[in-house]
Amino acid sequence: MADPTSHTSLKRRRRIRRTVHFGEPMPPGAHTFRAAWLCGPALAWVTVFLLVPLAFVIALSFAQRGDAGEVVWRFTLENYSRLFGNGALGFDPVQPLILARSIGVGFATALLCLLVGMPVAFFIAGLTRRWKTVALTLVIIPFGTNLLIRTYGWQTLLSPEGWLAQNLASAGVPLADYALYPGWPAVMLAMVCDYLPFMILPLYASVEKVDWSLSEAAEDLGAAPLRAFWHAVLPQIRPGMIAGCVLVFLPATGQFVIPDLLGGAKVALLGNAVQQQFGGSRDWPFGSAIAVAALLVMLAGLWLHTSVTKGRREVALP
Amino acid sequence: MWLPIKGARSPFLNSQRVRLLARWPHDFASSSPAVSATKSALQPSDPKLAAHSALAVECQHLTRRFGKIDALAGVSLNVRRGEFFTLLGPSGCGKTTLLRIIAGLDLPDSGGLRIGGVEALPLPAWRRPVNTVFQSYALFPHLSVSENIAFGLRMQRLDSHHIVRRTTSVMELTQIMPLAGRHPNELSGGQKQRVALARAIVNEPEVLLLDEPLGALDLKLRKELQLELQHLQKRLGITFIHVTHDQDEAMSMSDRIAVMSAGRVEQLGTPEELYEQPKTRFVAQFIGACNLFDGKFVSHTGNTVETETPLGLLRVELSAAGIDLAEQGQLSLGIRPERISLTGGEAGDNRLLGRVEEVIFNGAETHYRVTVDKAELRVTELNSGRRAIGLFPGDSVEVSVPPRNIFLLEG
Repeated sequence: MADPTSHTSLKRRRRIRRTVHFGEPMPPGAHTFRAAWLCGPALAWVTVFLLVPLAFVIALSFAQRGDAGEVVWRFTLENYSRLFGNGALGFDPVQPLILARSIGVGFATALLCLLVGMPVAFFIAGLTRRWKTVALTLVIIPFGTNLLIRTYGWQTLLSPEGWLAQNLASAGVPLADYALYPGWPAVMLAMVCDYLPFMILPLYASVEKVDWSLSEAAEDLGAAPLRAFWHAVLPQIRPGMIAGCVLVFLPATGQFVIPDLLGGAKVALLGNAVQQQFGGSRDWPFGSAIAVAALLVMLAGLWLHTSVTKGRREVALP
Repeated sequence: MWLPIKGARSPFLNSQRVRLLARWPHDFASSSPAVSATKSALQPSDPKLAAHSALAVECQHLTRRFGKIDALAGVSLNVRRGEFFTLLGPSGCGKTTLLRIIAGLDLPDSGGLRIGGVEALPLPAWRRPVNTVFQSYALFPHLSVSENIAFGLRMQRLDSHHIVRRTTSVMELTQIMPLAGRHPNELSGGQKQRVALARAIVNEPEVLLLDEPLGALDLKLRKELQLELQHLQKRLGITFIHVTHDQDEAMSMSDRIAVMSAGRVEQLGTPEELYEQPKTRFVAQFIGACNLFDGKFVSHTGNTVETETPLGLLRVELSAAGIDLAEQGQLSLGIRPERISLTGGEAGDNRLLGRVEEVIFNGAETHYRVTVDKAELRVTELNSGRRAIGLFPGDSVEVSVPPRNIFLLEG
């Protein structure tokens, strides 16, 4: 470092910023250059296999479908207007409903995961070091099981002749056929179970770091336990809550295996719609438009995340 | 509990939280032995009577065990209304535990506690008329300075213009008005300390508890804030209970001090009493410097006792309290270094012949290490400037020990 006391050296230092890397002085810019090189493979991968196809999908969403299901490269906004309910025969609510349902399922899954995951996170944070490892392993284990297998498992468990319905029936709880599966209960149950680890892990990381002396301070200042929790503990774990909600919301809105296998035909989400357009309907342009819509929903979720985490102020005081 | 729960990490599952929650709602409180033992006897029938109690805090034989360690082994003490009271002791002596019990953040295993004349053990922390300045300050990081200070008032659900008015006036009192909009992570240690203090006193508690409030600050700032705290206490008239391990701080700030050691109160008194008449070796050594030695009872005339000590035969003039101690044969004696004179002293002093071993000049005073027979004495002479004493290591010197200033100690 140059002598910081003299004015000229300060000026010079602003112009030439020398970096020392592992004890070796590097010429200006070399560090960035080297870093860029190391990022090269990842950048190339993302460009070839993500950015280019994504651009293709976006372009496709403005194209038309030919009579035989082929793509006709003629610009149109029709795909998007269909998405908002403009069908050939006037207003058609199917597509807007799918959009709304996806967002709703995303929010509901995030909320349920938060409610279920919060006590678990606090419980794990209170364990001794050894039991913590055990508990966290237990939380992660479902990741190791294939999603399809888990989903088929729910099918067996929740079907009318399945274990749960039979036991409930013998316990005298009247349950209509297909009350659990296929339909919303099965979908939400599976969704929450699937995405719970995404909620518990960031929550746990926040709860671990909670400064409990703040909750004591709140009680000392006249806050009953619940208010102390609300005012002194919850603000400390807010980052974990938000991270967990984003991690659950994003994949949940795009989920298609669970609604497909457990929802019957009743619960179609964006993912299912895309699958249908690219598959059965052979309408690639419209499928692309739905995919782009799904992308926008997720970006909106992320935007919500950043705007919520940005400085939040309580009532202004002098 | 069967669950593998770690100590104080999660307040939802640990045993202390279970103990604290067990008394809520209040009807459950009487099932706790600590409460039922004292409740009926202490509960005043008329709440107005309680408000006029001259005692701010009364502790009756409080005990608290952590595992195998007695954090409090039967502490009884009274704190008077409007007093600056200090709990002084080395770390681990139980002073913070006592403070937390008064605050309601911990429960004693047995004993009684009254705050302002009202039985306090059935009351949870948030209902007690006390506020705490925590050692770590425990400011809410997500709230600004003014929001931190307003927190207690908000919990009382006061209307907003009330809150603003009181918050503002306390910020003016503690001179933190310019910091109002800042967040705790933008404050220095001294500023945090002021905010923590303001956050507590804005609630006008009956008793303010200060847990080593100046412990994390540098010396100069500590001296400054010591004075400010004292002035503030006199001005507000709030009872302060102050915990510290710094005897200088305790001596200069307090009206009365309870010296604690190993979960017990060793001695309780004004700073002068503790310095002039320490009762135990621990107190004599902990407060100020002290020469300690053993003695054997020889004879006694009036209130003067002759004792055989490693220094030789010493006459000790007793205060009334010490007399029956003197009959016990084995005695423990102490004298402050500055009460011993190397420059003649007065008539009637014990005269001993010693040898100067070491001289340490310290500006205002000079410290001498003197050996008399095989015993060693520390002597402090004030450098008054009238004349130099002119003693050097190896010199022989006559040591004068005034009989009035030797005290007899227990244990």
